[in-house]
Amino acid sequence: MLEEANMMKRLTYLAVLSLLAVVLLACTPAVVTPPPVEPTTITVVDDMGREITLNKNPQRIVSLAPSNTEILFAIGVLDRVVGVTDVCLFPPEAQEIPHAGTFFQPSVETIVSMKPDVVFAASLHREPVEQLDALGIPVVVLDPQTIADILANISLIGEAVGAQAQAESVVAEILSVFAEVEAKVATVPTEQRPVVFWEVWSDPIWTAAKATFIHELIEMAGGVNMAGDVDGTFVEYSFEMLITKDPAVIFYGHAAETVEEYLSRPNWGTIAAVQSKRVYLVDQDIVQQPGPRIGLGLMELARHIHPDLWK
Amino acid sequence: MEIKKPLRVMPLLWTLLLAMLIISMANGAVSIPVSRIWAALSEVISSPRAEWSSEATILWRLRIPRALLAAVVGAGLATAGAVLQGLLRNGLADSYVLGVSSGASLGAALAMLMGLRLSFFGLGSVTPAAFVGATLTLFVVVFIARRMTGNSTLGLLLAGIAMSSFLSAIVSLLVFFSRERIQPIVFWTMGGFGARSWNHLIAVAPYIFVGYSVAFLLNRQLTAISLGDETAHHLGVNVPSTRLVLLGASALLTAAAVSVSGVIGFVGLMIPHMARMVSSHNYRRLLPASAVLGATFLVAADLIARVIVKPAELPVGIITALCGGPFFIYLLSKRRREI
Repeated sequence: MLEEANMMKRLTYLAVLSLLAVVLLACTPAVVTPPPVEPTTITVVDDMGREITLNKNPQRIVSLAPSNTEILFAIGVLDRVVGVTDVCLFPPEAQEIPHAGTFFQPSVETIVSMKPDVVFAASLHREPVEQLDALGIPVVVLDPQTIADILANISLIGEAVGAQAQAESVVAEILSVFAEVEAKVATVPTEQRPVVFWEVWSDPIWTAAKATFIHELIEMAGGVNMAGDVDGTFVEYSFEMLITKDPAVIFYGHAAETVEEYLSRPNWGTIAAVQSKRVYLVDQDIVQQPGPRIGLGLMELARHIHPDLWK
Repeated sequence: MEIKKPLRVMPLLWTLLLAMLIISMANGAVSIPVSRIWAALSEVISSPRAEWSSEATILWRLRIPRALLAAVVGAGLATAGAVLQGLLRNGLADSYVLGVSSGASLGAALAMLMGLRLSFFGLGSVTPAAFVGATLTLFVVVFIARRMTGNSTLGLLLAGIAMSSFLSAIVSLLVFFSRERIQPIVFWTMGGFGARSWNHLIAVAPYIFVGYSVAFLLNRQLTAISLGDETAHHLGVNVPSTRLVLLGASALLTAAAVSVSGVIGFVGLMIPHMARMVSSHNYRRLLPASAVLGATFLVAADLIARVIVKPAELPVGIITALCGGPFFIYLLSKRRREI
């Protein structure tokens, strides 16, 4: 009997012990692999070759150039823009956004007070960019010189603000316009491509030379840029040379004169474009601004340069 | 020499400067009420930089260093003007009118062009280069005036104006060929305090302090020379060597000012005249009064430049020239009596 009681005692012990072990095991946390930590910042390289680290999905954006504002609008994040400049006129909603100073003189104090997560500046903003850098405010500097640069800028801004997909579709849309124009223009033989004069300003005469995207647009639209043999960007051009080149099509965007006034300029009567009345006042913000509307700009130039292709 | 009258003027001038600094801190592209300045500043002391409010950042990182720099530069330019007016016994003398500022700007521009960026360490070489330019110009102008025009007031001014035009043309040429590697033309002709930081203040304040100290230590000799070389000689002053040291001091003050803020005209012309009105012709009183008045004036001018077209800015030299041009003509019209 005693043996049996002892046995029972041992069994109870064993049972209690195994129960405890089970409970303990159950309480041990299961070993699971943790989910990969989402990075909270993103690093982009701007047009000055600087690496800029900023928070993902910045919610407070300041734009210091009209083309930057247009890109932000095109990729659908204008509602996150808290500061623009005095010349950010498109889209009209942008005119409601407070100004972070002027395009030529951004106000660093105002930008700081806007508490931006990211600032999109232009290459002319050297001093304010240095100041913002010193203050630790992320600044992405854009310096579009060519059409490829403009498209790259759209992607870059899209990447920086976390709207890559929208940016890529904007780029694709522009590329499809380019393809459409290029397909039509390809049928035009070289000798039928008219000399085109893009007038930036009339007194003195300023035009767009080889290193501008306006030159690229004119050539893509099936024209020959009158100043395409001049190195440089925007240059002063002599009237004697202009008469010699005798442009067949003239575009101007400065709106200092109506087309009628332009056609009656003294001494301009001998120029082919004036004689055939192929002088066009175009919206300079579409053509001259390195923004997402350059597809429209190309279309406008192409329709005027080769109207018969677009009937 | 009378020393009685002006004893109580200095506290008043210092109060004026302090008030102007506070007004300057409260105003700008973003207005910060005076009542909040204290709160923002205590935040600067108590919390880490990452947690500062935007007001604290604007005040401490942008506005205060700028206002203090304007004060230091104003003090330097006014002192330089006072010293030159006494040394040359010419009430129209000033580092801007005599072309010393242009000489300094040529030196500074050359130093910047040689690949020395306008950073803290870069500034270390810009100011000495500006000093060389300022000193050479000053000696050439004084030499021309003494040897070639018989030391007349008009001769000195004409020599200064000619040198000034010549040197600033060279600076313009450098800017034109530099392709934006140095400050734009307007900085060299109208000056300004845009984008200035603590680094700039720390870099030039010692030069201004040294220049001012030298002038102040020699205040007795300077007063004597301002009364005439003969008088000074009889009072036991070594006129040639004192003159040399003081010309150097005024060149140093001008060079330090120009290397951080470009060419700002007329401060050194106007301020000493005002200082004489409120204090004395004795340089022991005149120098501190000129320095503090000059500081107040330039802080005020910079404030106007910042707010009048805000959020954009004007070059501060426009403001000083708008005040200084008419003042110069007024002095010219009084010339027979005073100069």
